[in-house]
Amino acid sequence: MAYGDRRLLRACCTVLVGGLIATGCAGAGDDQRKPEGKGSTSTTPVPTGASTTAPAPTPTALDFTPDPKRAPKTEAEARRLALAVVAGPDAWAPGYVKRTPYLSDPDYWPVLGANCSWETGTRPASVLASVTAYSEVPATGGKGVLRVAATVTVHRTESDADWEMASTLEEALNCPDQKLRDGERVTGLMSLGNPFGVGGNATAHDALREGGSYLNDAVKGKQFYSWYQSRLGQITVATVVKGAPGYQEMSDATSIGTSQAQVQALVTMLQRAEDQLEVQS
Amino acid sequence: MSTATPQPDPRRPEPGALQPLLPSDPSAIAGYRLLGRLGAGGMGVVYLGRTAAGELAAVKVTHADQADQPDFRARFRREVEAARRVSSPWAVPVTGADPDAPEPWMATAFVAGPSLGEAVAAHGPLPERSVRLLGWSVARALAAVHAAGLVHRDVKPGNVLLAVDGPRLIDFGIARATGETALTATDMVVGTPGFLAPEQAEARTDAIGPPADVFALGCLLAYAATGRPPFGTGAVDALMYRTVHDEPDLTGVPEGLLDLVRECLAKDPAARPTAAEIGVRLVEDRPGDGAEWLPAPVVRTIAERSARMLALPEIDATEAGTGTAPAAPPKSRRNFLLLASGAAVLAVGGGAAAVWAGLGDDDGTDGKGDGKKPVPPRTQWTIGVLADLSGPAKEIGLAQERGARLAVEQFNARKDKPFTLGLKVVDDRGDAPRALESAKTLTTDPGVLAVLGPTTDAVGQAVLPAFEEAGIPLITVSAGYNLLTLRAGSTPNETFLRAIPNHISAGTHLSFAATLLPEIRRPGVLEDRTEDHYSWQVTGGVRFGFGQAGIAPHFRVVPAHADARAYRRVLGEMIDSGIDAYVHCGVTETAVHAARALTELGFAGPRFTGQAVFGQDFVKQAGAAAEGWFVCAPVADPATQKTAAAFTAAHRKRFGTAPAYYAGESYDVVTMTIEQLKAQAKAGGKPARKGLWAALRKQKYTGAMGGYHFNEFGDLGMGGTFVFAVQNGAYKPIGSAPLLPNKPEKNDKKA
Repeated sequence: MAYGDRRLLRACCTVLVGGLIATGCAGAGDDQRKPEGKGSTSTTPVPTGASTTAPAPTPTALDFTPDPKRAPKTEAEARRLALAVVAGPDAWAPGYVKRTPYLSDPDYWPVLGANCSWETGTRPASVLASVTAYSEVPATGGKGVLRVAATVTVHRTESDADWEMASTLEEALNCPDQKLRDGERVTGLMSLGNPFGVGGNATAHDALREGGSYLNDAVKGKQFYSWYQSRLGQITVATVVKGAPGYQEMSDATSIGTSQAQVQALVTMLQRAEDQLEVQS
Repeated sequence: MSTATPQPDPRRPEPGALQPLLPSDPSAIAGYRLLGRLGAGGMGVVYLGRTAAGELAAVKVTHADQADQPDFRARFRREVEAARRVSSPWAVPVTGADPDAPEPWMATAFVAGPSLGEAVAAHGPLPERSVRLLGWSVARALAAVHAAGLVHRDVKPGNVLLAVDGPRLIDFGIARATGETALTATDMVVGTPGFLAPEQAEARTDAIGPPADVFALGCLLAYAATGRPPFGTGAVDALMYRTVHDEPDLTGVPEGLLDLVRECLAKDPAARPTAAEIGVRLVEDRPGDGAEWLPAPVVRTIAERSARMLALPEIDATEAGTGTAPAAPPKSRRNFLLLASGAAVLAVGGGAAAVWAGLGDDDGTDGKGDGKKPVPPRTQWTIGVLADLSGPAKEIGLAQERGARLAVEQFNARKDKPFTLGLKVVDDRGDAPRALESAKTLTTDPGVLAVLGPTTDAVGQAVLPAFEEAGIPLITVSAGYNLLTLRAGSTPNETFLRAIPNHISAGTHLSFAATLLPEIRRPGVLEDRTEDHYSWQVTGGVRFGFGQAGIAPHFRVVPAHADARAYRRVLGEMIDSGIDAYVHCGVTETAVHAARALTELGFAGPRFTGQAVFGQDFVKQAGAAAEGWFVCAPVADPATQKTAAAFTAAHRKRFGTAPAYYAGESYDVVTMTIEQLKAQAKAGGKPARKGLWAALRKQKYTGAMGGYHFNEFGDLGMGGTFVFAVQNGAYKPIGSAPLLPNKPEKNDKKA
């Protein structure tokens, strides 16, 4: 598992960097974006095949056999599932603690408005439940507060979840600069999808990464911003890190980047979701 | 077993000792005609077999009673799968297997050369340079084995075969039980105890990993350099004890190798270097330039062995490769063997020529009467084609094959040609998961100098590591995925050459072409995730290009294989949001949905799309809805190129039809490659892979379809996108896409 995670991560970064170089976009190297935990701009149920096209060779299918009987069908079932899956501080890494409030309101569903500002929205009927868990690494030794969050969204159908992935990709294309809330912005967003088997995605039916820069009026300078989102069947899971002074996203020879915990939290949620949905032997 | 000296593996006696088949033996297994027995043991039999294409193989068949042991088949299957992932020119490839047969079997390519054990026993220790090259190659093979998640566990002189162009590691990780060591498997795996790592000697199963192979490699190198295993010989238990507790005897190991060998032999597995590191440390030399990597007597042995194989029964004129008939000289068994031993024959001169001459009478099998004379020693140099000839992109692949064939035939027809070229065509069927297997026909053939291909991005991603490892330039005229040339780490691309724009550049060109229509202010750009890697790159390029023009598009992203209803909905929303042009970053299937939806919705603006849609399927399937679409392709129409007249005429003459799209560019890049090989020959060298990519990348070539030059990454230097308009169900060439955007004079403030 750990090996697969590293590959996923490396591949995501590789591909994103590739795009940046080749399009000549400025600002490569720093990153990331949206209020932690989010909904989407559109979700109309449209039947579609699962994204099975896999340009990369390696594995041919995700090793996951869902049990239709275990699939959540009501809002209550979905909320129970989301709470069981969502990553708390333990799933990130040592040193992460709960923020207050820790969990989002059951009706929390931000949407990206036409002016590229995140606003309060209404959870669409195609979404059964969505939970965001907020964690942080408190300020220590000259480092700022590192704020992170994990979101689980349970859709009615796999197709609905597929459209959520697509609309997340749309956000960075249409709004490379977004206002999260007063005093918080993300800029220079780039996003990239990796269906299973592509770009090192060996853990989910679909995955995407969005990266850019994070600006907080209360903090000096530009920080990185990183959003990972994966889909397993009708469920999407996401982790977000808003950089802070003293942190770096990627690991190097001297220090461990935040991406390691971020991928850890993401993959933990995928694993929990599999456990919740899979055929029990 | 208590051998005094390392013995040749009993499973592989020398080919001269090939035993006849027994009455109880089958005459064929799967596609392999069996020629004789190479060896037998309690677990099964190893046969020498031959494929329909004439290639020799070692076919190992496991006895049914062994196969019925618990877990055997599952393990066998797993290990065959893993072994198929091993891709190294220095590891003998698995060419076929059936774990589910009543008697499970597995075939590997057959190498006629003697084992390292036999060579050292017959001719004594190898000189330092040979040992270094041996170490480099075997380390590379082990690195590939380890990368595939395997541990060889039986690296020893009997499992390294010496061929003219370098050594080959055999028997990697096949059907060996978890925890089984060379000691416990007394039938099939008779290891030589002097080559086991301490953790293996102590059967500490949990501790046996890639470092055990590195330890064995250290023993192997010491043995090759001195003729003695570093922990001596004698009784097994004493040998084991010394392996675990004593320091190795490295007397006689050359100074330059001493540190490395000593590190490999560290008792602590964690203290040993990795196979990949060893490869790097020995990198200054590498085999590949003929036979000089080995001393002359060993080369003579190889030549004799190869020659003796000619006497094998039932050798017909056959074709190589899995694709279509090769051009020019039909590839006979003779060519196959020449290919393996030609350089050796050149190297040893008279002696080997006599061997060949002496074989003449036995070799009437290809019926040309050339058995009368000594065969002129000559290497068959070959241009490969890796193309989708029967899958989804066969329209493009077949055109490419024709272009390449024409180029090779025209060269061979020249009186002044300095050498003759073969053409080896492999059909990858567009099947990425199996492409690596298909490509091995090319990557394991030392005569292949360069390959045109692949047709598709997915196959490119699958096969690239094998071509990188083999050092064979892979030249494409249709695979635009950016990471085929761009490398993540510090290793730059030195394998892939792209004679078309990559998808990102193509997307940029597409948007520049769109800006020629001055009324466009708010294009709608749709990213279809059906082939996600293609679409995001084109979308990224389009986004960048419109940005250069100061135009802000409206983007939508649609999941893979969305249906017509989804497209009607999304396009309706895009039109409602005020788009004045439509750009489809996606595949034909969804472009057809989009074309129909736009027609139904009465959209009046221009429509654009790219390479993935350029083909007959789009106009056929979308019908009237395709009319007026602009399609940007990475290739030109030969009819519009004055310089292509001779090529077009030759194509008509050869194939009875005008060249299809992609044929002209294929003809050009193959001709360009041949020109470079000619230049090498003129400069006194032999045609070789080495340096070919770099030479091709640097030059500027003008062919029938125009000019080609490349940037430092191996991508086409500039331009290369051509705009076509669908008119009356056909593609009408409009012209080259511009290299700069046309900025609207009065930009709307809207963004």
